[in-house]
Amino acid sequence: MTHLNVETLSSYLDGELVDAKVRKLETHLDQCPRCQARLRGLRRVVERLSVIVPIGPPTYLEPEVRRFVAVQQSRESTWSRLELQMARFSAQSPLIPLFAVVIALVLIIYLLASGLSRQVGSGTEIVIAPTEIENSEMREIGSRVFEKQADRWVEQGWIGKFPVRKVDTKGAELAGWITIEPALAELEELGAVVWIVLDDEPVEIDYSEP
Amino acid sequence: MAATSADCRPRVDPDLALIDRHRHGDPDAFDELYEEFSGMVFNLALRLSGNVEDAADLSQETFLKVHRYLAGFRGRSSLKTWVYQVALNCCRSRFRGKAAQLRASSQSLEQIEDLPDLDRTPEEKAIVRSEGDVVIAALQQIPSPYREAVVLRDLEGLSYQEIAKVLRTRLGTVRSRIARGRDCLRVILEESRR
Repeated sequence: MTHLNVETLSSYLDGELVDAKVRKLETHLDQCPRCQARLRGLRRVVERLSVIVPIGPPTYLEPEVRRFVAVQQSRESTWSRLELQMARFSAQSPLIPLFAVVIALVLIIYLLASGLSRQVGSGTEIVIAPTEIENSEMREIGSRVFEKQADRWVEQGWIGKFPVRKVDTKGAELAGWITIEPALAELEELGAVVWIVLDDEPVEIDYSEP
Repeated sequence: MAATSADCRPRVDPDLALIDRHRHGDPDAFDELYEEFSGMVFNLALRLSGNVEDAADLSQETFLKVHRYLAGFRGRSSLKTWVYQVALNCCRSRFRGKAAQLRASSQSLEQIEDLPDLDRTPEEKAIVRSEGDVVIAALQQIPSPYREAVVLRDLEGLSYQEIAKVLRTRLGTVRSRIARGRDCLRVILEESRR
């Protein structure tokens, strides 16, 4: 006798099976004590999980969040003021290129000091902490956020090992993902290499060449 | 019956309205968002991290990111799904690389079934703990991809489709992770009763 697998039993508990499958499953369950026992075990787990009740966040959290948000806002407004000053300065001074280089150097040193970690061991491993990068270029595609890093776009929130497997821009795999997540079709507009996480796997899609 | 003028008004998505207010500098918008999602974020972080201090830190980190990136959110997914994704990314980033997490993540179902005694002495087993504590402790022992799926399904009450969006994975993968996570818990909880 072929027994029911755990995916089928668990989906049955959640009412996620189509009617035809439910009838077949119940017929099998009627005559299989082993599958009945496994289903009872899974049901007991779900019942025991339901005992866990949500609890409220600690009272100190809200003022902490407000404080950090205020600091973040102040940093962002400082940057905006700097941009304004630069625009005014560029209208008056011929030293713009030199000033821009100095600013770029300061920014690079700041990024390195604030935790951007790159380990390029024979070009095989890079660890990036996107949350530490300030004032970088961002794009939102569907529910994903991408950050421009050098000549590529990296999905925000991903920290992991690279290089990643390459996915063909014209292949069936990507077409399949676009069917599931239509917004991914917009990646092409980026016109650059994209590092993205698909099904928990970091992959590279190269849109830099037409 | 004739439609009233109120019926004729275009319906505004409350999520998009909130984001629009945030974009225009309304500080109450973020406060409302915090009010709505702080419990959800904290509990997700608590169940994934297993302790209150980490959960509070992760909640703080999540809301800082939400505040920073909210203006760029265009509402293609629901705000709730997006906030879950941000929180989950924070949790994954925090625990990626931590030895305990790696150890948990690398355990296959078979390895968990082989665990002889979950490192507990008979005296420890004899300690009566509340039902919730036992289940929460068991949750910390299953591989993190399974834990995420089980927490989102059985504690947060998300549908399979919502979980697929939050985890950015296929429906079949969600189904499999929930099932395997529950089965891991079944094995651990049965073992802990012996």
